[in-house]
Amino acid sequence: MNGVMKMTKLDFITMKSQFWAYLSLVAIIILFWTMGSSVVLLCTSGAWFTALMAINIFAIQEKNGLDRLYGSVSVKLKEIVLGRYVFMFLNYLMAFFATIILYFGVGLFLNEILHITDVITGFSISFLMFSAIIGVQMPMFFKMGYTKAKVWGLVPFIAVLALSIAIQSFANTPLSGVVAFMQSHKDILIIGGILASCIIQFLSYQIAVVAYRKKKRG
Amino acid sequence: MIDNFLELKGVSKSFPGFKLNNISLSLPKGYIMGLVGPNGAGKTTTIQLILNMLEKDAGEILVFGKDNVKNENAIKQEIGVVFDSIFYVDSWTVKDTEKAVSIFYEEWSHDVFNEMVKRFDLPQGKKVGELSRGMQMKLMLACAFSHSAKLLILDEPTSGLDPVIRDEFLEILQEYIKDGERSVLFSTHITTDLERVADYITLMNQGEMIYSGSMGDLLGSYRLIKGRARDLTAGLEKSIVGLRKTDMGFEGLIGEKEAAQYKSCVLDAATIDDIVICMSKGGTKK
Repeated sequence: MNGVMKMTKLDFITMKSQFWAYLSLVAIIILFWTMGSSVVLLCTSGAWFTALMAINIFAIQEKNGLDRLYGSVSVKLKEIVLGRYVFMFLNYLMAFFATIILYFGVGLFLNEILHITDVITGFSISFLMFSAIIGVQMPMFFKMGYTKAKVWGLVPFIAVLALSIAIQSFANTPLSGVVAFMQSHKDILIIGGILASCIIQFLSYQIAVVAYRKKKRG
Repeated sequence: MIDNFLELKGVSKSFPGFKLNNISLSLPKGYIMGLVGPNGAGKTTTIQLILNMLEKDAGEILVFGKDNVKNENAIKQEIGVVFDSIFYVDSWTVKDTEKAVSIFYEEWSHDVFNEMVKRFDLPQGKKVGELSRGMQMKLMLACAFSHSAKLLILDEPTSGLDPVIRDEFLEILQEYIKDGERSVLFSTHITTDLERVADYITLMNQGEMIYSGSMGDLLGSYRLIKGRARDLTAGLEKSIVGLRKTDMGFEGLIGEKEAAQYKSCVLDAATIDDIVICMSKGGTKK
């Protein structure tokens, strides 16, 4: 097992006591589903809540002085950072699959069909939103630690909420054309979303490494 | 064959308001070295530099004869670390701790860990946060021993422990090095612990290294001098390190060779505590 996988595994063990909180995600998905939300909306809501919960890893790290554990074991700084990104991504994937399985399961009872295009669109948009949130947060938490960065860490959550409200209000503006274009060209939306997510994650990782290294230099 | 398990050569590190300056020390294989100094002396910074948790500004650090940065991963496989407070998640049980820490070591032995847990009476199902300070320290030691560490680095492990646990801890350290194949670097400000177990000592104060060498040489090279006020001549005053004047007289630390000239004064053997206190107050007397 390489250093990245070791760190990811450590992060999962670290968050072990918090996993019950992930059950609340199921309740949220069901709640949104009963409100008639689309699979895309369910995926993005799930991703939003997952980002909110998974970022707790930094709080546990700080509270328990885990930087000293990371510093005493044979793992490189880049592996610590990348391991954390993999951990966050796996959290997102679990939430995504939980949403889809839940949606599919409930849909079976109600004779609702789950379209694969909707699933992929849901993945693309929710992954983009998740990447945007943690892409901004992670370098801040690596640089400043949880306590100092937690207020700033809320900014991307609020920004995403504000943006989603704004998109709905584009209905009678020139930007409604853009929204309509995206809705009619889902392939571009899917590929663009996944590509943008990867770019955001890559840039965020690079910044986080520099930020964490600066912190280490003292 | 490597003679020194740890070598620091002219290591420096600056922070705003603090500078660790030109630290050099050597810890041979099979011995215990105490890193002593008052709070803020730079002991923890030195340990963090050895572990590459901080980047040094200058100097060289060799662990098992290898550069500590270039060979960080290989070196850390053979180092066991105990800090002054636990660095495991408080909701982990003893079992979870083994699961988490063992990931990182190629030579982790579950049997050794279990043996240590039994020996230290660590309750397997109890959470880290529920363990006493002494038990937490034992858990860190159990982890350090379970991957065949050749070098133990201990940062203030005995602070806050009661005398019985401290005594037990020192016995464990002595047992650990008895085969002559392992070494211990032990930072503390409880110097009585060191007098029992340390072979070498490094004294630090305000980021400067005052002394690094054998414990016997250090204790043998100083005397604690006490006398009446009228005995304190200008020459004697210059020779004393950490001079303390009272209404009754004076006391301080004096070099063993110079001490012979002052037969009218009381000369006692100096303890590590005396040396640390006097040197902290008065700097080094060359």
